[in-house]
Amino acid sequence: MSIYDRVLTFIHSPDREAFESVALEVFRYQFASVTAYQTYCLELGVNPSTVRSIDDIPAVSNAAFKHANLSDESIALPIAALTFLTSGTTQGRERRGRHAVPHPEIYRASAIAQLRTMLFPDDRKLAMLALHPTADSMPQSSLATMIGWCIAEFGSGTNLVAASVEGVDSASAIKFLDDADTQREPVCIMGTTAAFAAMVSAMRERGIKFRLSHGTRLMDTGGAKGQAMPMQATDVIRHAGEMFGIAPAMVINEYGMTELCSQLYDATTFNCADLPHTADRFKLAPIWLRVSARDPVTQRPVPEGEVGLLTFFDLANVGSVSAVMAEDLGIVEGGRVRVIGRSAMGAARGCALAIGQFADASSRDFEKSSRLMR
Amino acid sequence: MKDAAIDSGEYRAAESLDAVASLSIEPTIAELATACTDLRDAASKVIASSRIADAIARAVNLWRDRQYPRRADAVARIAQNAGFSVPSMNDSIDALVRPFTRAALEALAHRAPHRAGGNSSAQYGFIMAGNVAGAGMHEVAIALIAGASLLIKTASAEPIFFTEFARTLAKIDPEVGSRITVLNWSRERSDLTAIITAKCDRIVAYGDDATLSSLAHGVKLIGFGSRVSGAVIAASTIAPSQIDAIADALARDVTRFEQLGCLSPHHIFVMTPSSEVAREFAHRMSLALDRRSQSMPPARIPLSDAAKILSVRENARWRRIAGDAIQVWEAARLEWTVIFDPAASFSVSPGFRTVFVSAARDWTDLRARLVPVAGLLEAIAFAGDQADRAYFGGLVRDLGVSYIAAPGEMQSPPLDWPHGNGAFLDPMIGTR
Repeated sequence: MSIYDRVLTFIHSPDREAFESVALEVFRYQFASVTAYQTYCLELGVNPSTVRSIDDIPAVSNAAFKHANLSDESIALPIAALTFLTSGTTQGRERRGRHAVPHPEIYRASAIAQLRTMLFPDDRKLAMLALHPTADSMPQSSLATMIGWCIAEFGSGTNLVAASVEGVDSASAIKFLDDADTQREPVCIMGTTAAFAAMVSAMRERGIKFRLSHGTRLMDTGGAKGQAMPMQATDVIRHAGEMFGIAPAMVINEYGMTELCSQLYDATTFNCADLPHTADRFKLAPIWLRVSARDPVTQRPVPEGEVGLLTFFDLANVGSVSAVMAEDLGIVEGGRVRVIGRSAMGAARGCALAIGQFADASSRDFEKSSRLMR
Repeated sequence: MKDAAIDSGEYRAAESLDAVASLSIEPTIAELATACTDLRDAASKVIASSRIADAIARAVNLWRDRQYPRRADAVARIAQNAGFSVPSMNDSIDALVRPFTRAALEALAHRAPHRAGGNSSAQYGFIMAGNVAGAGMHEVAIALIAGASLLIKTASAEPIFFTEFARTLAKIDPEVGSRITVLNWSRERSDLTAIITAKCDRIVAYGDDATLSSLAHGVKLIGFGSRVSGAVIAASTIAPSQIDAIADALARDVTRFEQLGCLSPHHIFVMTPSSEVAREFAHRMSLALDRRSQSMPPARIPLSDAAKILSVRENARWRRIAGDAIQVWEAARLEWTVIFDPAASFSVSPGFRTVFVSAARDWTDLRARLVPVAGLLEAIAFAGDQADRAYFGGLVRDLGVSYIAAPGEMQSPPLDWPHGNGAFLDPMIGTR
């Protein structure tokens, strides 16, 4: 059985106890088959013989995908292989990250399985409204690809992609929702938080509010990225209720990135029956995605409940590098992940410039043209 | 009176730490309004500029002495709050107060438009930054000498320096001291901020751009916003005998205030057509920072800043793995980092002893590397002969650089430093 088959089998039949041994196997494979990653590990004094546990595996930053080729060089790239590009929104005009996925069926299996658990636990086929383009018009966007898969897997056949690279087609989206409302058909609305904010704004301008049918749900992703006036998670929940009639438990934020083939979603009483009543939301990862918070100094995991850089080991990334350190701060406790994000990192610099401000200034135009990408 | 002489009586008097009512407790609206009225009254009494200059000179004299109890206590508390080492904080404060010589203060007094009466009756509200203790000291001295009274709102992150310095001043000359009140309240207390905006003739604000824009609704604002500094080493000084001395001097500039102030260098350009020469300087810079970290232990780096440093290091590392001609020297943890990126334009580092080094072929090339940050550059440390320095001054005049210093002197600008391109100095003391 190839390592790809092994991972696909794991995703189909996840076994928490077996995760670490599969992860170590994946690391050994990637060390041998991704030259740039091998170079990186050796520079850190790490090789397969020194790695005893998943915590010993060097995690690459987003920069690695930006500058190096992290694809599996031991296989001929299958015709079905996909390459996704990052938006590069925080790095200005620098090159964009590239994530090669030689076997998209693994990515699809991961995405669909987690969507089924977190967004469609009721196993319903729904009308689908995408506030983000799908892969036919945005083939290099991992989010576009994922939304396309979601529509194909969970859609009732009534669907609308109300977005293009130019932005959200609010008028079409409103008409779609109006039709669904008339027919009392629940809808799954998906898109970036920025697209949802644009939709809310358009509905306000027109004085429109919906009370969509029971079972309607919203999946937003991306948070403040690309928004001139960032809509916070609590605002999304509030607006979803006020403008669409969607219950808070049906508003589910996704955390994902181009560099990962697996995603985390908000736990709510809809997808997590034994959830304690708490104001603070947290996210859950699938069994094949291990999340830790690491100390930026030692790059080792911090104790549970302490803040660190969110670091992932994603088995579904088997065709590139599975250990990825994000730029987001967060807390991991008992498998629950709280994303603090990058915004909290912007400490005041007094009379010196916060590092992001130059980058922001130089990236503004670029960001405008790529804000829909993930 | 000579600068070096510390009057022992003065020392003992100022040593009493509890003589002035606690000034760093959040005031009520009524207390703040009263403080503004009292300051207005204080400014209406005539005090000669020369007397104000003398009081400041005597106060600074005390603050030059690391054993002066009020300073020692303040430095220890500031270092503790900021996570700095005491040696590093002491070195930073030494650099801050160095230019406040009696001669320099008297020269300012001589230039003050109201030197005879010493009374402009103006009231200034200062909103201080929290990351660099003492930032704004130049403007405070200038405003006092020009006859103004000052209401200083310290940042919650650093409420100590100006509180304690004002106490020293009040001990030395109560009348001059009555022209400063130091208070602290949180950014959320916009009701209190609104009072000083209404009561003061001018607001002088330091801080990030968000802070300044939140205050910008008024028309009385003089803002010192987000700026950074760099360094240039001219070809004329790149000699094996000089290179380590320059690196050591720049390491002092980098480490003072842990590279968080607007006068901290972030990017060093070596004027040379040879990338190898610049690379060697980067290596020497790393050695200098390492030496410096022995005598000036680095700060406890906040998590978010540590993450930024790691990000900068990783970005460089991956570029090198991808084949870019970039090299990283780094301390085992995050104590210091030098990134040699030969062709880079000016880059802002995360601070905490993280610097970029690049090569610039010639003046044209150098200017091209600085132009992207025109208007955001505060100062440049320049190592070179007089002719080079004069030429360089002309080259960057339109880029907004307000101060060109010798390496090692960046954190000690002269009192007539036109900080923020003279936005404050010129109206107070007159154009240069």
